[in-house]
Amino acid sequence: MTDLDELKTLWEQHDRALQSLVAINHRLLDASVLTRARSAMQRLVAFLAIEAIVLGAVILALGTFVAAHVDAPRLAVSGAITGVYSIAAFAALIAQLVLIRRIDYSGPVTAIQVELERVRVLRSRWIQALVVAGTVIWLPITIVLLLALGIDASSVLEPAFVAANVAFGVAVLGLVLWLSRRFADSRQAAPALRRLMRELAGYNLSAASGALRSIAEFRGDDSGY
Amino acid sequence: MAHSTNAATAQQRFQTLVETHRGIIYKICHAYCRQPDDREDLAQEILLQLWRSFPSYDREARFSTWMYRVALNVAISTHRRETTRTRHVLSDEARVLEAPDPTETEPESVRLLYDRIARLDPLKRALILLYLEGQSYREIAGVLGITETNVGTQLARARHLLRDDSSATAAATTHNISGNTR
Repeated sequence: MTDLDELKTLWEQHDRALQSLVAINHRLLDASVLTRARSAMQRLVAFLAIEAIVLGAVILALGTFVAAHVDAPRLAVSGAITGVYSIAAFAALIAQLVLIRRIDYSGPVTAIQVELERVRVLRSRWIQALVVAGTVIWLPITIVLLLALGIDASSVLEPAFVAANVAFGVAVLGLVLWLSRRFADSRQAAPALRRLMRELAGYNLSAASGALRSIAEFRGDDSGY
Repeated sequence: MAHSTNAATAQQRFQTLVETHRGIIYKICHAYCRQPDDREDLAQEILLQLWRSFPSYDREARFSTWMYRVALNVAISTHRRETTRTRHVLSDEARVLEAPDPTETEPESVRLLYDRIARLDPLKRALILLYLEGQSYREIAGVLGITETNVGTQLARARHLLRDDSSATAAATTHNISGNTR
């Protein structure tokens, strides 16, 4: 059974046998059942949409915060930094949603797989950027959050204090990355945590990049994606 | 009223077409998943995506070719995604395809065939499936989004891979037999 033609003959026999062996469940073919169900991609879209709504509300609140504290530069700057961070995250989320909504599964396989891998690359980079930037700007975020609770922490914003906290953030980032690389494939970790660790360790990004390379190779082009 | 009649007609057409080509779902699920639960997840995802994409189906085109496009896209993306359980998208009771246990009904040669297809990368697997289905180079090129020349090139590579794989399997079998008879 080495030649494709032999395989084809065998496949034709298999195909004929299938018609009598396989039956489809008609209950699951009903439009009401199919319309109610949510595919994996739809669940991701719903998840992204919720994230976008929450971030949109945060951005509006931060705008109000900055406007209310223009006369207190430390607070206004903290609010503005947090706002820029949130707007960047919001923009990346919208880009993911647009990319996903654009995908038409009845399109040519290699083209659709490229679209899907681009979404994966964007999502991986988005998560990594959020975490890396978060280690540096967690201080202004904390100031904004504490003020919402009635505590003004901006008075402790001396340069040495800021530097120490940024250094602490970078150290935490190093620890998080090390833990992610160490435990990303641990079967004991919850699936969501394992997925996050794989994103932070860069495994998902390199898998998506590898997939894009293999698609380009298969298509016989050198566009590189 | 007219809208609900159209919807009912569309559903009826969808059911008939999917029913006629149910074997495609079976074959793709077996080519891309080894575990029965994974096959069921994939079958459900394929069915859902077929339904969602059905409004864009052009009646002039062959349904089986369109179905292959959608189903292969779902299978390859599911295969690439990190394995997280998405069990029972549609129902936790009924399975999409009701088929007897393939280990009991399929001849050994068919199981070996699926095993060998499963060793190819996801895109070559799609290419071989379409070739085995009897699709022309032109149709394969259209489904995969590559040139007809490239279809020929990739098929030649797949042929070599399958042949090497077959030789390796035969060598291992001979080795095992001679080892057992010593």
